[in-house]
Amino acid sequence: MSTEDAPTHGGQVSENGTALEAARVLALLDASRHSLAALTAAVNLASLRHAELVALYVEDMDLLRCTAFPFSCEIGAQSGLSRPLTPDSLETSIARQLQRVHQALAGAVAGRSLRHRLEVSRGQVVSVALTMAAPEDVLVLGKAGTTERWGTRLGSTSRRLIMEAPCTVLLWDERHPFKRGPLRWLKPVAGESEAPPAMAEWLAALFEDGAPLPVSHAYELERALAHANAGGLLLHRSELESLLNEDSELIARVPLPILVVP
Amino acid sequence: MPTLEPLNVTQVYRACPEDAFDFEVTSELESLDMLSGHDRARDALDFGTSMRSEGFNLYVLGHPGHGKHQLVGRFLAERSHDEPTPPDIAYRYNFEEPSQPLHLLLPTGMGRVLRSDIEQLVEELRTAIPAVFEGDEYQNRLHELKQAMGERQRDAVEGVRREAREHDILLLSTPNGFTFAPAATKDKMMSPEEFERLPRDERERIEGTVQVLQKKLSQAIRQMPRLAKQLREQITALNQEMLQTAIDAPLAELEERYADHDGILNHLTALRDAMVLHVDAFVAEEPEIPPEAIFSRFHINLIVDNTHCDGAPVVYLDLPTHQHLVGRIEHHVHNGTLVTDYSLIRAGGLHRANGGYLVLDVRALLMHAGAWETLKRVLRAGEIRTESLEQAYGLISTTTLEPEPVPLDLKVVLLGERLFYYLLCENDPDFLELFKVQADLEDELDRNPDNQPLYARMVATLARESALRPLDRSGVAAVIERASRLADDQTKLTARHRALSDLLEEADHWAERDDAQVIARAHVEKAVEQQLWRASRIHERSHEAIARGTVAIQLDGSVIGQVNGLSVMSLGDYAFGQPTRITATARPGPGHVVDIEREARLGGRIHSKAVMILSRCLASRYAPDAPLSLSASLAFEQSYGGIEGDSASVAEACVLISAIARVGIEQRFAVTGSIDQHGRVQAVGGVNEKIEGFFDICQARGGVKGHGVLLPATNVEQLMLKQTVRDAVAAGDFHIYAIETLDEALELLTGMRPGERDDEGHYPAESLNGKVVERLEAFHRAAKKRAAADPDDAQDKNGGKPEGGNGDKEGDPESEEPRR
Repeated sequence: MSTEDAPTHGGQVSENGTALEAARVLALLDASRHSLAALTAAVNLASLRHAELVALYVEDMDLLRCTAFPFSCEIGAQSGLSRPLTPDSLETSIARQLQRVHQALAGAVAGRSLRHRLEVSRGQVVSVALTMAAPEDVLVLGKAGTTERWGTRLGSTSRRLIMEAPCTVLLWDERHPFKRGPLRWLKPVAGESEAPPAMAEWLAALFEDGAPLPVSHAYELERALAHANAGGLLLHRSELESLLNEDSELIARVPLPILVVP
Repeated sequence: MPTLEPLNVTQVYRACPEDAFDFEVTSELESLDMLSGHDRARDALDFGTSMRSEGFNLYVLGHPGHGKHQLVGRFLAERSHDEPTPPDIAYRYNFEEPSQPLHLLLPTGMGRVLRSDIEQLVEELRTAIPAVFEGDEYQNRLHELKQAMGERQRDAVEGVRREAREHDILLLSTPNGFTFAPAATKDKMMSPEEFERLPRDERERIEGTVQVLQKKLSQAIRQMPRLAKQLREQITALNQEMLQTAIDAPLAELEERYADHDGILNHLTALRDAMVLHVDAFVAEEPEIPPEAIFSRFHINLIVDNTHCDGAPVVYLDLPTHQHLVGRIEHHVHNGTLVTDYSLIRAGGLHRANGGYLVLDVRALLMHAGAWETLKRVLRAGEIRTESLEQAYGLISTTTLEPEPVPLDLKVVLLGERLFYYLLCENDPDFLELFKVQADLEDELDRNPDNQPLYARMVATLARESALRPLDRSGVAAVIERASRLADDQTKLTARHRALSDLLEEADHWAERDDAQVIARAHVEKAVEQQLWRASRIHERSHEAIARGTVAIQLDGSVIGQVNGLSVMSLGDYAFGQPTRITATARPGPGHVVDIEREARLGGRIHSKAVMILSRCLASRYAPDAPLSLSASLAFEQSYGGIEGDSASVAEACVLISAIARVGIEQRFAVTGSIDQHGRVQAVGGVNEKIEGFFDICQARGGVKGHGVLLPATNVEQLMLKQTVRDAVAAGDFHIYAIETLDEALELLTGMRPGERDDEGHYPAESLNGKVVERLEAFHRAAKKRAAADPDDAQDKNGGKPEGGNGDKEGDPESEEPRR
């Protein structure tokens, strides 16, 4: 199910045949507040570079099928109360979410000449998103979407996306307003080049200059960036993985947007 | 009866003999306690300042010219010098009730030490506290706490997830929470169809497990807030622990230093508690209460610092308003609102004088709204409560401070005129309760050979204190003579320092003009002359009017029914005398004397009384056994301003007798003196001015030779006449007679013997008194004749009222109608 043509794999080709700087900006939406905030960031990013914006909404098949169990019920993430989970109520809930996503997208692109479309699929969120993403794309996620509601830890869905996506992932920090500033990266261990890690030029243009951070542990990074209010942080997937092993809530503790490159 | 002799020159002036002094110039003399001579007041001050009991405050009574400030100030300065210096007073923040700051009484000089100690403490804490919270130890421990708590939270849900996995059940996220579903393979959900196909036992097992898991997950989620609260508590405990390490050392040092002072220790404990309580202020990035706001509560507001006070304080409050007495609470304007705190409490005079003496002017105190009541309230309560008048009287209701009252321990010394003392005694029941000691200053000191050297020392002290030239003997003698004149008494000296020091300052000025090294008699006399000259414009205009005849005063010949009385005009502190023409008429009538001044409402009550006395005196003298058929009138001619006093009653008696007996009065004399009902002459005031005034007029009108003044013999001691008069008296040109009875005055004024009653009560026919009696009898006969001719009328006019009823119908013009 799709609002426009079936999704095409890989980078799009422009009329004059050259590859667009960034093929597409993918925004994974679930109608939550944080994902809608990430949508705004994705819209800005896409219009800045004239890329196409693909909003992706996945209706979770597992969840829908779940309702068929005689014992199925939902336990509130905050209240801990259990409510019956029926196909009707879930369908209604999904339909409303989709409606909100529509409105949000229309609102976000209003007044801009931006190519955009909303992809609505059914399946498992991670596999659908991973199937959609091409190496030239940028996948934009809200940071809070990566967390569970009580603590601030990376949810399993987001974690799989970040770790397995074939493209660059931008974790947008919707709690702090974005300000242009230096892009920071972890200083590589001695012997390696201190040059900034390779990344799409247009993405680097979001930031001013850059500076390597002489840190290697999660708590050092947290303290180094505790008062940062501008710019962003660039991490390799491997670096992020080792940092998350030290502190699974690190992403939420860094008050900056994080770029994760494969 | 021997002829009365005029006074000689030694009787009209008491010179000060210079050879009685054992010094050449006053710089040789030692200074004198200015209260000497005021023994009563000094004893009272001594007593009042020694009595520590409540209510023994002082009131110093005296004339404004006494220089009470200097007198009392010097006494108190000496007295307070040896008394202990009172403690410093400070206000501190009340951490329990911020609107009621607490006072802190600190040993003298400790206030400023404590203040700087606390400033240093704050300075130290300002850096030490952030250092602790920025340090690795704190940050690591905080991180560990958070991590541990994060793990516990995660474990709560992960535990359920793991348990579910063990039972082949998956935990799935829904839009609003979680749900469970059985797993087919790893991470792969079993479809509902597959589930349905499972054996019944298996289905029930799964269903039961899911129910257990749901319950566990529900519990796990529900304990999240508790865990979050636990974390907050742990963090607070950690913060407090770390804070203690930062503040312990500096506070302990102060606590040790001030171990003997409970008030300070309490404050230090309060500081510690406040920091621990508000530990978040030092940790949070944008705390509710910034650390500076907490530190600002540590400082003390030292309102009285007695470090440099020598002995007990003596404070003179020149503007004793309510606020200046009890202090005030200032306000800052903050965002358009008036705000205040304990640091804006300001001391009043009572705070500064606490432990010593507060000197106040009664007049100023009574003139300022609420000040007198405030002072009484403070004295009664025994504590100084700082609040505004609006607050005290409940006129405003905005939030403000109620500082803890400071215990009161001081003596209030009021300085004021006698009038205020007696008015307060009469009208304020609290006054004598609170001001039990009166220190009454003398207006005059005795002038006698023992006192004169003391007075010389007093003059020397005044000259020294004002940094004037010293006086030589003649200068001192002149000052003493002038002091006698100011006291209007040969046996007294004025005790009003202001007049004396003014005289000395001026004499010094004239000495400077003369390039003299010392102040001599000439300079003192010049100063007196200049003082009089400056004040004498109206005096001269008045005398000019008499000299030119505009105001008719006759100085020659003998006139029936006219005499020269003497009056005194007072203009501020200057007075001068001049003659007044008093006239009388006499004719038959109902037996009373019409006082025209009184009828015209120009005469005062004392004057009226004097006229009544003299009319009764005449009646008893000349008609003791018969009705007095006299209608007489008395007037002060060309007097437009009003007459008061009884000093003209001798003159009035003489002029009446002259009018009745038709005997002329010598106009070269002037008369002053009052009389009683028996014709005895009594003392009056202002004799010096009167004599000098008449003398000046005589001089202006062609010489004083042959002229003279009659004054009561009891006034002779008060004579301190000026040089020109003394010269004329010495030369025998001008005569001053001291009279004791009316007869003496009559003899001098008429040149006739008054005559004395014989055994039968008759005066000799040719004597003056005999003539008076004879004329009065003629009046009586005339009255009787008229009454016989017109009995009804006589009945109406005379019979209906007591004879000689002076004062009941004189005002009725009908009774004055002549009937011949």
